[in-house]
Amino acid sequence: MSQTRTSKENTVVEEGRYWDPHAVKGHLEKGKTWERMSIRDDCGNMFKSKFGDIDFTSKNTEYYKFNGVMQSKRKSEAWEIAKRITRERGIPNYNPDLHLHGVQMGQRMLQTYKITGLEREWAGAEDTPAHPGWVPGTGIYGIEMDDVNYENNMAMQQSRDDISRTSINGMNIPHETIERRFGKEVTPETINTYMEMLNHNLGAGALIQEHVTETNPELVKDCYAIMFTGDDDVADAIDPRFITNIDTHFPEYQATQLKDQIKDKIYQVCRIPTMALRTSDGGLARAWVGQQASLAFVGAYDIPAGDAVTSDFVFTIKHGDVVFTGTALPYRRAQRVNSIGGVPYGYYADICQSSRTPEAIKGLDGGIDPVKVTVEALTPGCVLTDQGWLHNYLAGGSSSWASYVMSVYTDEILEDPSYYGADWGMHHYKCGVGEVPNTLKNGMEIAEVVGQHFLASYDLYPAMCETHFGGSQRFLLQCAAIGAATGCLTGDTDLGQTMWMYNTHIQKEHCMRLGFYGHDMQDQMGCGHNSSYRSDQGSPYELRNMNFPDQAMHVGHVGGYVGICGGSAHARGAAYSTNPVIKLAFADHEHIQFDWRYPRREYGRGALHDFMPAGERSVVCPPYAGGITANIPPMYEKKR
Amino acid sequence: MAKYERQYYNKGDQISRNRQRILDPKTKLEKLRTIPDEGFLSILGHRNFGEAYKAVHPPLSELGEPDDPMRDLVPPTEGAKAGDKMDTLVMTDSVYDAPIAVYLRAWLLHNRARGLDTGCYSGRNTVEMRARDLEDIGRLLLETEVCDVRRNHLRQMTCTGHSCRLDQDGLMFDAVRRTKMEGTDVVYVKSGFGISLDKPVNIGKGVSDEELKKRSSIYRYDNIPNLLLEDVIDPKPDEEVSETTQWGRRIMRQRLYGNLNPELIKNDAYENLEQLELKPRY
Repeated sequence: MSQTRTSKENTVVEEGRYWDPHAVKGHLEKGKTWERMSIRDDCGNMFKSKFGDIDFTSKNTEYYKFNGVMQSKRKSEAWEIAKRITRERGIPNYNPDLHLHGVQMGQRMLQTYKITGLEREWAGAEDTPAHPGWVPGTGIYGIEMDDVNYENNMAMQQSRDDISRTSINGMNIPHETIERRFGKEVTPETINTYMEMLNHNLGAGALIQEHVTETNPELVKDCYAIMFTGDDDVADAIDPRFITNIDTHFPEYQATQLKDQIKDKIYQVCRIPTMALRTSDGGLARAWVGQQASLAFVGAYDIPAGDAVTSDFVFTIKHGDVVFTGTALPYRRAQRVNSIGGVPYGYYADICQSSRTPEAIKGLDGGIDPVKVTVEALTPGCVLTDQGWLHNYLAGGSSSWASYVMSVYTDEILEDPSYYGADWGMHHYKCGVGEVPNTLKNGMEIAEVVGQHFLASYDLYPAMCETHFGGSQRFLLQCAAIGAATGCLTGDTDLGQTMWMYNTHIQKEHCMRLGFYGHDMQDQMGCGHNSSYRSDQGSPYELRNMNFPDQAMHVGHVGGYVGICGGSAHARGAAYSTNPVIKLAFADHEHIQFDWRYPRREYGRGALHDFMPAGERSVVCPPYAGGITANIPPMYEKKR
Repeated sequence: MAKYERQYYNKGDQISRNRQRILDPKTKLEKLRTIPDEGFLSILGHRNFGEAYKAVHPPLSELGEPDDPMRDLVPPTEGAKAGDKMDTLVMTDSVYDAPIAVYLRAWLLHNRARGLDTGCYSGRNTVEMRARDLEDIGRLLLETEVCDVRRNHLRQMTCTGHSCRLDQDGLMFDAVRRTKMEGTDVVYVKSGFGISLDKPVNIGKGVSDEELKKRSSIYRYDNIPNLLLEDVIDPKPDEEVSETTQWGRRIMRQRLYGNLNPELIKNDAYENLEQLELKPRY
């Protein structure tokens, strides 16, 4: 990953700032306060929202008095709905009396959660066409776990769909073919005509055929095509409706890097209809765009349809310079390109756009805030790789699995130790983020600081330990925080990941337990493998994905790797983690359904049932089933 | 050169000494209670009292096994000899000063038993063995000092509770409520599978919280911690931190160096390599 190191611009340490370790020690000895907790007021509120007014330091509590699932609004609603379905269908449905040998779930308090970051004033969070009516600053405590179940959360599903339905095509090869083989001139005017035609036929319309079917535009309104280029002159000449303006979407230092990398190449980004994608898989995006873009070229440049040259030309469009968000999966996984199971971690980090938000850029004492970038990138990483892919698709079925990774993106629990580690490192090494030398010794020191902080919190705050009741949750959190802090301080993704593996030893020797079986396999051998020269063990994390041999069973962890890839890159002053094309392809927040600048906010809105997904079919569904039926066929009207 | 003697664990502090004591097969574990056969089998939930063991193959003596030098080297366990089916036992250990926790139990079993497969999760430790071998080991795990009746439970399924706060009696949370307190004693009213027992099984009294802290094998910041705050915020070299931390650091470095370039291992404070007599076989 070759990027210009400009971290001097992001230096954050004030000379002579006082770091008093004894203050921290004093707090810990009292066993009452935790240095970060007192600074970040939210933890107290978090406990209150979960447990009411309790003594967080007490080891004892009362159980078995909470009335089972009836304490949960979502679960009791679900029970009522299921009773109706059972009556209507005649086959038994959801029934909490079947939980745990006839003992309902909910013998202890079914906790609620806070979606991290949702309550903040998001300076850059203006309404977008996709999300009208959103009021920044809405405080959200008390989200039920069922609300972040992948099946119940439309934002989670849409984030998957938006990745899979994206097709990125380099335009220079088709343009050269048009000029050389067909002898036509490509000008900004012809490009504009082409883009207008493409936006017509990509979703709804026909272009050069007569007497053919077309699609109701309401069904495919989320479908569009847009372009970006690193050449300012070309960008200025193209209709602004069709171009992503890099200068207005990215801060200056990031825009400069991105334009330097893209240069005069033009890329077209198409999003096929969500509805179409959901009937197929990500491979459809390439085929769909290949077909429709070919027709748009034929229409815009008056190319004769059907001759041999056109056939070659279509091949260049479909295969010549296509960038996939994810590679095709092995046969046993049975999905084509663009599937979330094949997206490299570095690409996930680039898809997430939090690194260009005002909150991240001015976050940490006026410099880039790589911790924020990490935790924001980590959230869709966890949701998509774990909830969406490993559990929903590979294991099959999504019930219960969300509990694993939701601990990472809720309750601000990850920010706390990550900032703690970053703060400590900046003061200890007396330099800014991304500037700590990336030695093994430094990495291990940072890992021990954050590890100690986390282990002490779990021991001194039993309610926190109960909140993360699975060892896998605690392991994931602690590793992610260590990786985030190390990556942010050193700007080295692989060192961050290696310290993730070091935590395996720290935590195992402390607690005599880790989590799921997989920790034995991948995480304990990971510290060795990370330094291996063998490509199936030691590949840079940015280029790994869930089909990488070490990582096919990394249940719950992959999201953390994504976050560390993002945070480390931005800590060293880079504008992207792995691929500038991917970064720019997901930059158009004004069009895309899922706002990648604020993924946690979006998932929170999904939990509130306040996120409108694309691909709704209600426009052609019968009104008695909740549909709109905008255009009832005449014959049907007569019949009625 | 001193003769290498296996250490099992370091002796740096009380927690590590407790671990070493459990891991060293030469140490006889103190027996704290005797559970009657009928009660023991009912909470295990695999076989009724008086019922014969189910077999998956005839006894080895009747099988007529082919000659194989490995068979001479590794004698079969009693369960294997008889052809017993495999059974599983699942233990759950509280994070609150339990005398044993999952990895430690797995290591204990590997040091003290044969013919087993064990798996370590966070809240449960699965032990798979031939039926009669499992019953022998089950008694070791439930009747000796490695089991505190309030903090180590036999739960064949729905194990959540190891990390939850304790109830007012100091008992681990169990959604299925297999155990309850009767006075000072802990009684199993359901089997490990959560099925109600006709006759509850009293497995006796747990030790006091103070005693548990002494017997604990888990580092805790409200008892004995491993990573000390003052050692990490002002980083200390290996020789100034606890032995357990040294151990973790060394494993980390050795694994990393070993994969990167095994030559580097020699440079990493591993002069013990010769002392351990490992070098000739490396």
